[in-house]
Amino acid sequence: MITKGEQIDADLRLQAEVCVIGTGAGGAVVAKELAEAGRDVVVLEQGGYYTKDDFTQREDEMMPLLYEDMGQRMTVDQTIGIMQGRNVGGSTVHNLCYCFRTPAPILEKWQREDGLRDMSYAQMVPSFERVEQMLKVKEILPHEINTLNHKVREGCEKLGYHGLVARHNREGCTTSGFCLLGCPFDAKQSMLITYVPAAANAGARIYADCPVTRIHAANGRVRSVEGVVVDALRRPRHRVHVEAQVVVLAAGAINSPQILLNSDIANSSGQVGRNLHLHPSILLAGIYDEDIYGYRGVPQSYYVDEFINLEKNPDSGYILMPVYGFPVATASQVPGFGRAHWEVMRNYHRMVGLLVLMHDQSAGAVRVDSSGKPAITYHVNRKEQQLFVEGMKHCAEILFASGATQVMVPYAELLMLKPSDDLGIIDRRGAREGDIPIASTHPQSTCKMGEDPSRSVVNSWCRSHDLGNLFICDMSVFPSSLGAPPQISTAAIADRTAHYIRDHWAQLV
Amino acid sequence: MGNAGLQIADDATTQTRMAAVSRRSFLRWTAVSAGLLTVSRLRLAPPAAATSAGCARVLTPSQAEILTVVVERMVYSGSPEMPAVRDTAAIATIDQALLQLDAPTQSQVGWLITLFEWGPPVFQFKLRRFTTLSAEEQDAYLRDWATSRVETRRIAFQALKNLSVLGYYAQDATWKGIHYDGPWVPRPRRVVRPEC
Repeated sequence: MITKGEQIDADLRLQAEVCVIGTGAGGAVVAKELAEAGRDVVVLEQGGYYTKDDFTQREDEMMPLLYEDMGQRMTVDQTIGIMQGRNVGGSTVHNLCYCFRTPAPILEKWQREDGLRDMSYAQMVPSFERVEQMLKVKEILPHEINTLNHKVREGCEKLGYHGLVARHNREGCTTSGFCLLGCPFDAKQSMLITYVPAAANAGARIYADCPVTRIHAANGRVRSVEGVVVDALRRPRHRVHVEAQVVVLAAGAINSPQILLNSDIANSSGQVGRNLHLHPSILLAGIYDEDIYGYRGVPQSYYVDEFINLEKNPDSGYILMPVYGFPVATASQVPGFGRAHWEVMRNYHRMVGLLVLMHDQSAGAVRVDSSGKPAITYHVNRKEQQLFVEGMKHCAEILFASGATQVMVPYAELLMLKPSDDLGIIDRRGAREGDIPIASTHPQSTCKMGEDPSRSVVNSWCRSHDLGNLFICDMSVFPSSLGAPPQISTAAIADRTAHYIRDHWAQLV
Repeated sequence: MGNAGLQIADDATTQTRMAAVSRRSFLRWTAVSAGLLTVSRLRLAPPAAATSAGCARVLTPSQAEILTVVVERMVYSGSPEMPAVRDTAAIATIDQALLQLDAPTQSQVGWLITLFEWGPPVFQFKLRRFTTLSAEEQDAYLRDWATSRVETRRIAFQALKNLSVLGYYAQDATWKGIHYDGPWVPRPRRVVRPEC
C-alpha cells in the first residue's frame, strides 16, 4: 500500500515492527527485504509519490517534484550545489543508472582503517548479486552508446586513456535520454518500480509526503518516530507518530544527520554530520562543428578510469564522466548573460559535457541551523584543487582529440579554449570554489560505520552504537569517499543490513 | 538569525535592509534563487505595468514587470528564432517555481527584486531605477553585480540569472533556436502542479 499525503485527512498514529525512513537506494531495499521476511513495516518518505504518467520530461515541472530544494540545495557559502532526490524512490528516480560495485580496495580500506567486520568483497558478493538481479543490471550494448559518449570514447582512444562501457539498470530502454527528469517509460529500474512496489506487495505500508522531524529515544532505545504530513506546497497538514520496535533511518547523507541532530540522539561520538564527502565535480563542455544532440540516447554509457587506481592508492584519484544537461540547467551553467551567453547557448546541440568527479579526501559537515534545517559546509582542499586542474586539462585534451573546436571552462569569467591554446591557462586560473561551479550528486559519510564507538556512528552492521534498535542505511554510513557512483553500494549495504535485522530479530526487540 | 531578521521597517535605507539580513539567511534564500520582504510593504515598486505574468501568485505585478526587464537583459532574444520574453510565459513559469518555495523565501525574492530595481543610486550613483536605464546601462549594471567584490551581490546576480534562464528556456518557443527537440511524451499528460 502506498499512500499519498493528499489521501491522509487526519493525524496518523501507527504501530509497526519496523519503521523505515526514506525510500531511496537504502530504505527501499530494507523495506522490501524485511516485509518479505514477514515483518510489519511502515515506511515514511518525505517526498511525493510520482509515477511514469507524472514524468513530463520538462525541467520546470520535474525539478520541483524530484529534487530537494528544486535541485538548488547548496553549501552555506553557495559555492557547491548538491543534487538529491526527494520523492518515492529517492535519487534512483533521476540518476543516470551507473552501476558500480563497491571497489574491493575501498572495502579493504574500510576493514583496515575502520575495523569493519565481515565486509570483504567476497562477503559482499551475495548482496551485490541480489541487488543487481532485482535492478536488472547489465552492460550497455554498443548500439546504445550515444554520440556524446562516443566522442569521449574516441578522444580517450586517440590519447591512449583507459575507459570502459558502463553497466546500467535499464530494461527496454527507449533511449529517449530524459533520465534526469524521471523515466516515463518505466525502463529505468529505479527503486520506484522495483523495490518499492515489491515492499508494498509484501505488506509494507508506505506513506509519501511525510517528512520525519524527530526520533524519540529513551533508555538506550528508540521509542517512536515523529513527522508531519505535508501538502503539495510542503505545508504541514497533519502529524505522524509511529511506534516501532526497530527504526531504520535512510534519509540520505544530508537529511539523516539532520534528523539525528534535531533529535539529539545517536551522537555520543560527536561524529554525526561530520566527515561529509561529496564526490565534488567540475564540468567542461566541448563544442563541435557537427551535431551531437547530447541529450538523445543513453547518457553516461561510458566513463574514463585512467586517473584513478584504487589498488595503488585508495585515497585519491578521479573519474571522468560524460554528461549532458537540458536547456535550463545548461543555461544556468554557461557563464555570463545576454548576447555572450547566447553565443554559447546557440551551440547547445553541438556540446559534449565531460566532468571530473573527485574521489575526495576533503571533508565537510552537516549541521542544523536554528530552524532545524541542514547547514552544509565543505571546502575542496589544496591537493584536490590541483587534481581538479589536472583533470580539467585532461577533459580539454579528450574533447579536442575527438574534434571539439572550442572547450568551455565555466569560470565566472568565461574561458573558451581553442585547440591551439596552451592549457596552462587552467593551471593559472586554478579550480577555486566560487570561481567555477562545483556540483555534487553523491553526498556521503556523515554517519560513518566503524567498530570504534568514539570515531563512528554505526557499527559494521549499520547499527547505532548508542541505540540498539536504530539502524542507518544510506550513503551516510560509508566510512570514506566511495570513489565510484554509489547506487549499488548503498543498496547492497542495505540488503546486508536487512538480512542482519531479519536474522537477529529476537536479539533486537 | 532566524526569519525574524527579515522584518524590515518601511523607512529603512537600502543599506540598513541589507544589514538586517544576516549573511547566512541571505545566502540561504539565494540558494533557491530567492530574495526578501514583500514589495507592497516596502512601497518602493513602480506603478503596476503590463506584464506577461497574468496569473502571477507570488510576484506582485510590479515585481513581475521588474523581473521581465531583468530576464530580457539576462537572455538574448535578438536572434530571429528566439522569442521576445514578453511573448512567452517566462514570468508565469518563474512564479510557479517560486510558489513551491517556503513563504519566507518567497518574500525574500520580492525584496531582492526591489533591491535590484532601486540599486543604481546606491551601487552606481545613478539617480534612476534599473528599469528606467538604457539597455547598455542595464547591462553595465548587471555586469557590476556579476563581478562585484561583494560576494552577496555576485550570488544575487546568479540567483536572478537562474530565475531568468528557468523562465525563458523552459518555454517551448525557445527550443527551436537552440536545436532542442523537447519532450518525447505528448501533451496533455497529467501534470502535477501545486496550487495555492
